[in-house]
Amino acid sequence: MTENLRPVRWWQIWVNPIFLRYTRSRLRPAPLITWIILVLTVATSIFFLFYYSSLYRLEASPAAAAKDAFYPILFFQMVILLFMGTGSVAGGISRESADGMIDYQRLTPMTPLAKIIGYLFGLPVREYVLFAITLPFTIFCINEGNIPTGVISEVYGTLFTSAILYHLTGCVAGTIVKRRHFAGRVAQIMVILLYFVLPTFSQLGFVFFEYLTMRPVIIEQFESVRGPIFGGFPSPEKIGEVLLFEWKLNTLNFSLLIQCSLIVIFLSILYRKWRQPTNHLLGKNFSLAVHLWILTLITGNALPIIKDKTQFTGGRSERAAEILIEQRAAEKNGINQIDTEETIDVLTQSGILASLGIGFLALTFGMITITTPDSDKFTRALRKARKLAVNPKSSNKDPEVQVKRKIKAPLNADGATGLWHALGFSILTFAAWSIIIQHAPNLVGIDPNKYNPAILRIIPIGLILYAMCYHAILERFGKRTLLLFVILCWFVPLLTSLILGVRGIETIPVLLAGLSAIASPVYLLVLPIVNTSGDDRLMQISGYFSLFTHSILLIFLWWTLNRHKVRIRKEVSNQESSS
Amino acid sequence: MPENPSNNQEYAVQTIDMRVDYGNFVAVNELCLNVPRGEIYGLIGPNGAGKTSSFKVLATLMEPTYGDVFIGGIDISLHPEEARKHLGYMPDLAPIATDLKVWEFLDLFASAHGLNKTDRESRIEECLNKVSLNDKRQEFCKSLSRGMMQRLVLAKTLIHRPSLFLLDEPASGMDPVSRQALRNTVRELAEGGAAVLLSSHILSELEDMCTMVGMMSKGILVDSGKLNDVISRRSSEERNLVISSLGNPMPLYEFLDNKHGINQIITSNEDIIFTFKGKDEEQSQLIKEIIEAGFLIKGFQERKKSIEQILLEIDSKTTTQKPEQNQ
Repeated sequence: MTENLRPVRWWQIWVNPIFLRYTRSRLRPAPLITWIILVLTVATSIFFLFYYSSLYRLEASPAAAAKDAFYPILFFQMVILLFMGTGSVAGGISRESADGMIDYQRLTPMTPLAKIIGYLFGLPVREYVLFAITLPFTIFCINEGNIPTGVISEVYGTLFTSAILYHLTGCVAGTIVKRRHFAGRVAQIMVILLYFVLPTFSQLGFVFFEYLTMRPVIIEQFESVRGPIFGGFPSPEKIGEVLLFEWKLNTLNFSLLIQCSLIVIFLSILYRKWRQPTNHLLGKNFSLAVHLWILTLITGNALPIIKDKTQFTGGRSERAAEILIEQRAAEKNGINQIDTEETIDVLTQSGILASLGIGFLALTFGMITITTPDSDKFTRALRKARKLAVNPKSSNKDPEVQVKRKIKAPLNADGATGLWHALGFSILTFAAWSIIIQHAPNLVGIDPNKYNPAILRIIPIGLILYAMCYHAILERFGKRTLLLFVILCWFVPLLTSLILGVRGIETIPVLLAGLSAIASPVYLLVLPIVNTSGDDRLMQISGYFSLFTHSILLIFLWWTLNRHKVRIRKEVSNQESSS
Repeated sequence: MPENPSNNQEYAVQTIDMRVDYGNFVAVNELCLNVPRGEIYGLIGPNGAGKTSSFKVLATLMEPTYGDVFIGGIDISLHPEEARKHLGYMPDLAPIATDLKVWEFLDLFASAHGLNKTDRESRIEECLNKVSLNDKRQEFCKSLSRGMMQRLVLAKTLIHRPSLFLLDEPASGMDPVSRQALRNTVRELAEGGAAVLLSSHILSELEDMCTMVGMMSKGILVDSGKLNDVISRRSSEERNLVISSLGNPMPLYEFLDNKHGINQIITSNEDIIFTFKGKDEEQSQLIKEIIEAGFLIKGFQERKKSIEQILLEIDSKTTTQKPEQNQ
């Protein structure tokens, strides 16, 4: 009865059923013509507005005027492809998911990759067509403006990879967020975040966020493609080469590297979700690799900045440090006892270190959340391990023996304990932060008598402690309890201390904030300072107290987690033996 | 090799102690189903009985918490993708792509299953004919009525000719003519060797169509087997008897009212209808006593229970029990 059929391969996009399904539904003549008219109207208006302004008002040459029209058209193409396209992808996927249509697709024998490709290029097919409609304007600008081919290939190459990346963002948002309209909004908010918010984090040491966008490539090429209109604007500072450890990378190459990395990560998420909706976003071992890769990028970008403060572009942090010093000086009746220049140096670097520490901690928490199983997954993994005869190499396949044996799921399975991988994430984070701290010459090196190098070397261990507490609560008690814990034990002390600080109360806010793991990267930095007094002393007391309490908490959590697992194992064994 | 040699290949579906938990709530508990090929198996039960959860597990859309599930001998927890090739699933309130035309909707799934262009066209034609929707071929799915949408999804389920059909409430929203068409299609499928596992709230529908039934209540499979066997088994505990008396039935009514094992006596003209709980020998003894007491009897009839009655009884029994909680 059942036929042996051969479904389409992933690379056969032209016969991909999902792609064809959307070319039918999204390219129906009536709505498409309306869209084409709308896009042509806007594109024509933009083009002639800039072209004629340049040509007649500024009396530029046709070549220069064509250059002036190039970027506005490109910006409009970006709106179509990146913003509208991403909304279509996220909305479409979540609609299929909410309707249940996605379950039909799940049951078809197409490979997960073929399904992803079908949705990735099928859902935004109308936007691709609308983009193509605007291309004649671009071609005119290129020909008339004699824009170099190298510039075009760089800009449009990055536009294409950005489109894929942003559409994948939409796919991921639509797959994870189940509410249809919400998913579309989430995806568009994610695009805004990626384009406008995250790049500002490069000021805090997370340089690679800047390269998720097309901005660096456009900035690099801006000067070569501008007519009199844009010539009036100050030239944006060229980024030049990107520093990664000792290497200097071309802006385009680094952008492509970052974007392609994220594309691979998103594809992996979607692949896993297509195989089984209950799968974790990333596999355990792959998460370790992703974590290592992100840490390498952050560390590689941050180290040159920390080693050489002239590379640091964090003007805001520097100003914040200045303000802090001015305040302290004012508090001491106008007598500035601090060596301003040196302290700015220290505080600036401390600011970067603290922000990197918080970023690392957040990244570690994120990875732990992705890979830690709940009780249900743990149970299922145990059952599957038993079904697969636990150890295929084992000669003894007697079910009774298997029941008695301490069954464990393979370490990389979604349902296996996340303990070892959480430890792996923490150790990698520890290593990355250690490298950064050891290479902060102005922090360590200003005054060797001021810091205890032994403590300085071990302070990143504090991050491991907090990360392991986070993991143990998550695996033992679940996400809801973890959220409550994070809010009550980590956010509330921090926020209370902020409120009390604003109120002008001293001592208590400093002590209180130290209890929070979120503030730990700042507090941990203070621990190695010797002969402290005042707030620094209080921070040390609070920091050590927090480490102590979290150590006790971790011991208790590990004990209860172990009991919990033993109980589940017993339950699975009983269930299996009774059936 | 994905097939498990230890499991009986004659079964299109086999579940062994299947359990589905939602947190602490046990939706399906120790479900053991054996559906042979060529059978039409009706899974019946009230809302919340665990039918849809069971269907989702069988369709490989959900993993069971415990237990084993085999589709055509393939363990779905180990080889879900292989098992999917053998099944066609029609969910409850089956969705359709409203932005597609009827033929486009079927073409999408025909091509997704790997049919080539010529085969697709003939197969779409064939499936649309089976569900009597050929005249709607060029219409948009959104213009179809609920019943037509159900028929269209049934056509989609048929398109790759699976050997197991999982039809969750296939008749919901269908008019009597469509239901008749559905019955015929399901019978044809079973005659062709496919197994059909379906659920429905319209129990009379199932009685007409199914060769086997499983009765679920509160996540438990209370009874299962050939339809007649289940009815006989359930009716043997308590049966409806009808006695037609000659003349005034009231004396006989009073006589029966005092007898052990007799309940719910009602009179209808000259007929007395009552339920009798007892063995066949006890029923025979009762008839003997009535005749010996001098009542004039002109007719006697034993009525077997309908599935609906049996299900209502099962449900009323289980509602008095506390739902099981997973500790």
